[in-house]
Amino acid sequence: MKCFLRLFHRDRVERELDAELRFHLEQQAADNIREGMSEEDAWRCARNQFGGLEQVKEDCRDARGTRWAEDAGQDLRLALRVLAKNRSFTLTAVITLALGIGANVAMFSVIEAVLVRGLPYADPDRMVWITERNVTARDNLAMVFGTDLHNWRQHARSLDALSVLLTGDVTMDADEPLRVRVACVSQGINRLFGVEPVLGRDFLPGEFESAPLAPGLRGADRRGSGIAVLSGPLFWRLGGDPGLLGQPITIADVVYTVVGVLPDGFRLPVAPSLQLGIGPRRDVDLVLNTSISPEFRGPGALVGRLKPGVPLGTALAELEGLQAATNESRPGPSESPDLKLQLVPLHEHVVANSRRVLLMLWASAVLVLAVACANIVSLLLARSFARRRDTAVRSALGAGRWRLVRQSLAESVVLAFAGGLAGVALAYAVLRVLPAVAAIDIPRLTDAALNENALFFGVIVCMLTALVLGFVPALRTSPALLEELRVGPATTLGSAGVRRWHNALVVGELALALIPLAGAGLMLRSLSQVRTEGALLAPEQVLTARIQPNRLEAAAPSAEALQLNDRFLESIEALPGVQAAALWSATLGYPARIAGLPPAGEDPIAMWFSVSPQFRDASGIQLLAGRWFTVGDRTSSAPVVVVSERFARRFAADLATSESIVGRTTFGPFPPRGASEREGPMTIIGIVSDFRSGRFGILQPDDPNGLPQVFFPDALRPTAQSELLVRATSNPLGLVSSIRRIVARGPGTRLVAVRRLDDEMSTAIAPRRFNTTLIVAFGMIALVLATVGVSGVVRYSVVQRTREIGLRIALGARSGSIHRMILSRVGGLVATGLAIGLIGSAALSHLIRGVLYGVSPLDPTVYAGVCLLLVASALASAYQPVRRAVRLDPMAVLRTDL
Amino acid sequence: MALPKSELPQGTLDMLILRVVALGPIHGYAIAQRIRQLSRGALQVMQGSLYPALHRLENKGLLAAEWQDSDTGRAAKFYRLTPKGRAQLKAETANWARLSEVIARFLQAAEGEAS
Repeated sequence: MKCFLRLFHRDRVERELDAELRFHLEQQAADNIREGMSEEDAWRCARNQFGGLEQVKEDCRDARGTRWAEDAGQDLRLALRVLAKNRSFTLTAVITLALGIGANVAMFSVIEAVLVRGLPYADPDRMVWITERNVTARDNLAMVFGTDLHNWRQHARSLDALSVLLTGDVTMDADEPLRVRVACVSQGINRLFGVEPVLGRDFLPGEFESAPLAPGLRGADRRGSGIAVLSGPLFWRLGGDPGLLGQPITIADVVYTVVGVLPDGFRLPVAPSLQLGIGPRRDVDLVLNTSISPEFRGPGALVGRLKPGVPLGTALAELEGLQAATNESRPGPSESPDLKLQLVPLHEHVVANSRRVLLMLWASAVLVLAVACANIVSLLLARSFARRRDTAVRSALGAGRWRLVRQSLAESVVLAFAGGLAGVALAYAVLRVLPAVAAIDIPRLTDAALNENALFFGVIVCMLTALVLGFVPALRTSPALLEELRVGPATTLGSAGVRRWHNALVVGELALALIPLAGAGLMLRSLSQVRTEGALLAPEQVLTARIQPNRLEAAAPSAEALQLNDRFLESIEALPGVQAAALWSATLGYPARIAGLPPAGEDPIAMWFSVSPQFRDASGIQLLAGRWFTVGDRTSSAPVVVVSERFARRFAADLATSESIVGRTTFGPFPPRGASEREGPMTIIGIVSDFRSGRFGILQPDDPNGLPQVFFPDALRPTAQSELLVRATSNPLGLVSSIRRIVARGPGTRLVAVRRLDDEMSTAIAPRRFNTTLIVAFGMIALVLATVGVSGVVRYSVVQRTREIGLRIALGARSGSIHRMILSRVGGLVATGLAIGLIGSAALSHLIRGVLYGVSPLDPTVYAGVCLLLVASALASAYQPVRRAVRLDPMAVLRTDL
Repeated sequence: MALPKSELPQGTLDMLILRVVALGPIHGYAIAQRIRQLSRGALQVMQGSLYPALHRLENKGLLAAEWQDSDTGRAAKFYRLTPKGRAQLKAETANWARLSEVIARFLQAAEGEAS
């Protein structure tokens, strides 16, 4: 403490020191005079006895122990002065560092919020995610069995609470129909998550027995009524009026009474229940109570709370044991040995998919920072070479080596922290904007903020950066610098060390830049693959919408519904500018199998599309084999279906070609009238490309939940609520009002959820596009930095060899040979850098493998492209300095140096 | 006539300073004079090492300093012993006595052996 106070009173301390020593001298002189010396002699003698006054002062300062701090202050002031003088260098360095450090701080904040911080529940570590999944079939869904739920609820002793969790997007009827995401649970929110509603109440234990089935489930009864608890955001969206409590809301024709509002920060995990259809990522808007019968079987998940102190393994063993005890009574093909019970910590489940992406992005950010550091080190080196005479003079005048090293460190500290400050500001801005930019499929991203952990991390990064930046130039301030003074400015020798460092830096920068660039290339290829694979024809000309039936008439006889739909389609197709119009609806949950083919483990669950005849033209799916429906198929007594590419691939494993699936018999949920079986045989007449629409979110090619699809004529099983597709000859948005009028003519029907198909598809791939954008940004930053680095080094080497080049030109060297001389050196460095970078990329390929789609992490095209890009950039950046070298006037060069 | 001058062994300057300051508040010049007087001129303290030593001791908290008027009327920096300094002096004096006795005995014994 005292020494810091002294720092602030530096001037006073100096004055006192001076006064004390002066007093000593005066006393000595006075004594000398008393002993008979003349005044002049007395003073000279006193000074001689005393020794060097300045030297004593310096020793006293050392003795005080605040020396280091005073010096540090002085070093910093000097560093600031030097940096302020070299404004362009300082600006370059600070911007470069701001990019590198900012990227790292932002990524750290995101990772901390998403991967590290616990979920916002009481004892989040006790929450588990329970699913059953076919482990052999990659694209099979997580399933829930009602029988297990009941069994475990009754007998499991390792669980405190257990609930089903089914989430999906539905339309909430209001004045303006509202698309909301619901989560259906079968146990109280507080018992499960340990969170109380902030307003109203939770579900009561007795409110699940008689609760309605989850909306959209097969057989969901339209009788009965349910109870709903709103999320904070939805509550605010509906006006934030406490009077909402007790009000009824209607979802899929079932009336729910609002009884409570959850805290704002509370978020539920999402377990897609595909009957409901689930779109791009968003938070759950409201929680509904639901009853699950023992016969229930469908996609979804269970959420449980372990009893305190029960390990996951124990719980898993208990649940498996209970399952085995009741296996005989389990329905359906669930006896399949491939169906495996999985218990994972809820946090693990929520972040599992983001982890790979985030770690990959962070790795890229670290590489960008490394390139940035290399770049600045190389600038510092070039500058220290330029300042070598200055340094030499200082060291000749007695500045210790340590002092010179400290000076170089002080500069790097100032640079690193200035860059860090700018970087933190940048990260702050990015984090503010990030969640707003796009629908991003990273859970909890909105929680990311610059908190004290992130700032602490930022300081650590700055310190490391300062060390790295200060280290290399510090090494250069060797005593050999005295040579510089002796030899004089003409020297171009004695800098082999610098050249080696420069070469190493260029190689390193290129190697480091290649890795994020390759990542960016791979991600771009994946994105284009995802966009184009099985793409629908001209989706920008297609309008998607839903015809919302009047809620009571919805239960109208199916034949009437079909007639109504046909009337709509006729009128819409009669509109000018309409090419084709079709209605469709999808159901899920029926395993598909094919007669005469051995079952491949669990029969894959298929998505069943009821479609009107024009569906193929309206949607733009492509016919790959066989034929599409004819008008006759609609009324034919022998049911026929068309299957998707994915379906064909799935079953064609045992066939010569996937086309040969055409003509075979599959089974669907449409038994002939009067038959006792649950399924009816149907003939496959064609194969089409996968139908992709953002609406159901499951139809991106990279979606592991993407299902095989079966299309059947709507007359087989007409549905009341249907999705509308209208293909126009140009932009379809102009047709909306006409179509809306046509639909409004029906009995209480309305047109809702109008979008263009391409918008819907791009929403579906928004997360991938976002990740790709980030890594491409990192890659581009790395590329620019590396290019600047190469250019700097070439310029430096040209300056260094000015004399040699001048001499060569004077002796008649052609400009071509000078070009070759310099470029061959650059080329060698580039080649070495790329080779190291390729090895590094291969070593890191496991980081990116899981994030890619349809492209190998070692894709040769991508690597060739990236190498080409780097070589081209390096050569382009070398061009300017080389050109200058060739244009040197040999006489001028030789004269200046002689 | 003064005794022949001796080199101060390393580390003993601090002890001498503490001993002198223990007699009462005193300024730097007087400390140097006093050391010379007490050693009857045998110990010559170089001013070059006196002041850094004073500052070091002050920094360690063994000495405290105050500006007072000297007998000539000029303000001077007077040093006095802190309790910590007094303890240190005691410890060092005891240590020195033991050390010099041991060394004297050793030298005597070695001499006896040689003769």
